[in-house]
Amino acid sequence: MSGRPRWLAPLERRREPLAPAPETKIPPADLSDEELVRRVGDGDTAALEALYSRYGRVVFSFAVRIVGDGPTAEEILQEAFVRTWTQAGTFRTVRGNFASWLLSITHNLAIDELRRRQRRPQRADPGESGDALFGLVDEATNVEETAEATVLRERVAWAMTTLPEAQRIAIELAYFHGLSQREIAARLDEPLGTIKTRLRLGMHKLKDALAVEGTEWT
Amino acid sequence: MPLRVQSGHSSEETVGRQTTPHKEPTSCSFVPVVVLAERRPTETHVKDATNQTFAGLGAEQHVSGLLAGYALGALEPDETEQVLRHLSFCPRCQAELQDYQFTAGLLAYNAPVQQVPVRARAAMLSRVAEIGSSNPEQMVALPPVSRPEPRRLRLPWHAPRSAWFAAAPVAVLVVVLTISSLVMRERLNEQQSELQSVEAARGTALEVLAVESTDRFVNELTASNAAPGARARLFVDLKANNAMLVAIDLPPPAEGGGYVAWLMVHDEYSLVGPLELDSIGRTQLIIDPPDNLDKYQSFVVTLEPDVTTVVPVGPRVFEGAIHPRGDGSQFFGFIR
Repeated sequence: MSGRPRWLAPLERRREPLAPAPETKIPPADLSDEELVRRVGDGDTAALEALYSRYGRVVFSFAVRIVGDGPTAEEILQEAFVRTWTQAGTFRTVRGNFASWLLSITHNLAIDELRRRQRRPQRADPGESGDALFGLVDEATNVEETAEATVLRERVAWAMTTLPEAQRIAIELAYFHGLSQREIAARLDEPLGTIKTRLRLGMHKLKDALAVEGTEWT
Repeated sequence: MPLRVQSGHSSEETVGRQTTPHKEPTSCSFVPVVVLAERRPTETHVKDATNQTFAGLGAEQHVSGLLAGYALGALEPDETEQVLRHLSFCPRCQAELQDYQFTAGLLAYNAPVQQVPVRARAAMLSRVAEIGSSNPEQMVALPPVSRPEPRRLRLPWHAPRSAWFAAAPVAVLVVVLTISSLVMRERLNEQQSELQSVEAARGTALEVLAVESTDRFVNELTASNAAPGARARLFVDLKANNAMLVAIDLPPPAEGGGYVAWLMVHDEYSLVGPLELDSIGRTQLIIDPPDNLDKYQSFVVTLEPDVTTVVPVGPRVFEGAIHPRGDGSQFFGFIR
């Protein structure tokens, strides 16, 4: 009879090389935007939540600034991250900056909403704003928001104060109110060329002011 | 053409509705210098700040004057189309636009900080769960169990929080009404059962009292000091082999205790059963022994500390003979 005795089998199995140790799990909150977006593209909802915690407050505040009411801004916030979920692969292909990509989506959604309202005039409800909390506060969006976001707020707010008022107003009417150059000209009763110039000069000044501060996308 | 130069904060120069190229020094290294006028668009040549000439860019001038508006989303559709057409072949304007877009993107941070409602996260994740994975290939490759579950989906339905708060009192009311209904139905059943028992006992009592028989008699029971003032009579029908106890003015027993009836032969007790008193100390008990009633000598009621006892330990409250005393006065026929 040849071969090893059967009772040795368990010991043989024990001598098999150990499996490599699993990779240390890094919490999603500690991953870069790029890695999180890659994981979102792979269907990882925890990564999506990490991005939400990181940028949810910026997106929501931006949307409230444009549409002026919390519930609509909440819908825009949801839609922006749903698009992050569905279009994460597109973003990975572009390899751009996630924050600018996300805020660009938010801007488009919010301006579209404003223009829908213009087509269908709605009852003004100034009392309903983002300050009126229609639910509990999502503290994660406060805690996990990037420190850079706070710095950017301060720098952009300061840079806006360096603009001549006419240029600042023109930029705000365009960017936050969704008005075209012609509409701004009509509202301010100024020539269209003046408005175009204000926008162009204002954006140049703004860029320079932020460049002095060394502002970069996070 | 009227020339208008605005002073003050703005350093704008406008000629009618045509904007001239901006002449202020900026940090932008590619401010275009238009070499040829619009009148010869097919021969457009431009130089950037480094004096590099771009030739053959196409049939249009650079669109620098529109790029700020484009980045801010403030162009009319025809202008947007013009910009897009130009950008498709002009790397310089593409680069300039990137700068504008970078600056415009930062404007998003120029908004007062708002607190994000917590329900927005759950709603977003709910929508994501409905949509599924953004990568269809990944969905196919992964087994279903590997699909991460949304962590914050706690509600079985995706109703707004306000709806839950509104529904809560209604739900509590429904539960309370349901429980109350069940309790009331249980009590009603118990009362109907008690009523049926009382009706049966009343029927037996009426039969005992209504039917004339020489074998039937009534004995007064003697009350002891254990229940002062109480009175009782025992109606016996030896031929029918049953009897009925009626007692009044019995004092309420202690908690857990009660009155218990016994039949006795010499010193042996046979349990008949506990007496059930009404609110004013009255009771009625039908005695239906399994063997012949006339073999017993006496009938006893005791006050027991434990009403479930099978051995009498408490004092006697009533006692009396089962058999007539011999003078015939206690027979029913005599009462009649």
